[in-house]
Amino acid sequence: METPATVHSDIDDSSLPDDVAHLAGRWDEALTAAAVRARGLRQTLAKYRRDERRPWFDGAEP
Amino acid sequence: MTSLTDLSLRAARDAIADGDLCPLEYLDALLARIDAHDASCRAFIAVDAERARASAWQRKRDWRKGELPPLFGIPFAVKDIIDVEGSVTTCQSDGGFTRPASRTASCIQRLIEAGGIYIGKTALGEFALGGTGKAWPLTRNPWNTSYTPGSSSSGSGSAVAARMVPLAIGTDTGGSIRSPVMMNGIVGLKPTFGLIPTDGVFPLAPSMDVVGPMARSVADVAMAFGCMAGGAHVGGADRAPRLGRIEHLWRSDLRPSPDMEQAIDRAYSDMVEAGATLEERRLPSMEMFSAVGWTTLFAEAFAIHWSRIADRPDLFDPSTLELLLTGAFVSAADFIAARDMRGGLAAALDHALQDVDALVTAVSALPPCRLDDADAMAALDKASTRVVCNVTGHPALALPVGLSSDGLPLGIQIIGAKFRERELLAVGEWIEGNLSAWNPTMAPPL
Repeated sequence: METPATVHSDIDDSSLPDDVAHLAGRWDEALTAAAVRARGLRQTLAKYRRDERRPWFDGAEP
Repeated sequence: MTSLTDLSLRAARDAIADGDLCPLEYLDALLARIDAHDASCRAFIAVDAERARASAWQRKRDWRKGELPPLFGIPFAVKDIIDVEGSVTTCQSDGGFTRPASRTASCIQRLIEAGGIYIGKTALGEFALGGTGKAWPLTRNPWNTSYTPGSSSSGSGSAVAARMVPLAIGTDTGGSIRSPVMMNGIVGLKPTFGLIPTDGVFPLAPSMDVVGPMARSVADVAMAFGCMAGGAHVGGADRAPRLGRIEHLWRSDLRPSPDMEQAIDRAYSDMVEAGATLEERRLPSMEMFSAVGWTTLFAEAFAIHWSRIADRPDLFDPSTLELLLTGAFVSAADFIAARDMRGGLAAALDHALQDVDALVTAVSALPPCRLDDADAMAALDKASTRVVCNVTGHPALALPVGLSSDGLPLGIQIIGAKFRERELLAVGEWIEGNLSAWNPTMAPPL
């Protein structure tokens, strides 16, 4: 699992999903680390989504 | 003379079936072992000695010469995320789980019907994901109690390696059977997704959750698997297998330790010397498998826990909470993209399996590390190749191949075609029988 080396402070209340907005304040460190991890996953997925036409998606050797 | 607690599952079962070993005597030897060593290993959350003794008495009364069920008189432990009627399933959470389960999970009921004796619940990473939970002791590796036992089926791995039980049951959503299997020097099977029922198992990520056996040899794992999935064990392969090795996942996509490279290279040499063929196979990158797997896991886990998080976030270990919250930031588009990619990744794995009996790769690029070394623990988390088979649903068998320079176990995993566990276990038994730096009688220095 990816753990951010530093906790960023660029997550504010307005960017929090509704499900966890009420945690802002007391749980900022956890929310920030989670947001950073999710962003990293999204960026990696995006990199491979662009590669969906690679031949191994048809079962061929990568 | 071999101690009763050193007996393999199969040897103990045969001795009981032959009338040479009383189920109660065997159980008492294991309970004494737990008394002697669990204070240092902290593998168990709860031991139900009274109930186990009652079951052992019943087995003693039921004993008849001749055909007995395959696990007759064999005590086993259960990861405390799986329901056993009358026992509390805590999930190693501080969240107030106090009500005993009203029924036993099907996978455990099958072991009991096969003659097994439930002995107690083992420790885990909280909800099979995170830290130890504030109220719980840290499970330790019996090979060196300063070292990690892996996660999340940590107690099951530690208990089996420490000879407290011959069999324990774990769950594997992102590698949680195979991690403690490797770290503790035992054998474990992550079955094909959907093969063994998961009713009565507290979910982590339902599209990847599986339950499977952990024991000290491939034959012992096969016996337990046969009871959990139905059908009999077929024994080792009668010919040297043709294997595909997937090197890039751990040698170049990750950064392996010299210890791990040497141990796996030696295992490869042993296999080739015994007649196996090893061909190079490739898969999509470890980075892609990890992104797809963890996106899926975090999204599904958050969906399960969000109401508990909303009500009482303070009841989670901080590390668990942080991991679960990741799912709140995974968008529907991310989740669906990951879901769609899983089909392509499974097809790539099927393709790699063409013309070979199984694929071989590392369980981890790094060996077990000290529990008090935070940097090493973080590096170990990132050195896993285990999520590959959770993403695709394929079965994977992890087994030890030797020891690190620190005296800690190292291992490999072999991956088979879906629903072909029997062939996979046969290949595993063949490999285990041809290793020069490991055999299943090797035990931690407790």
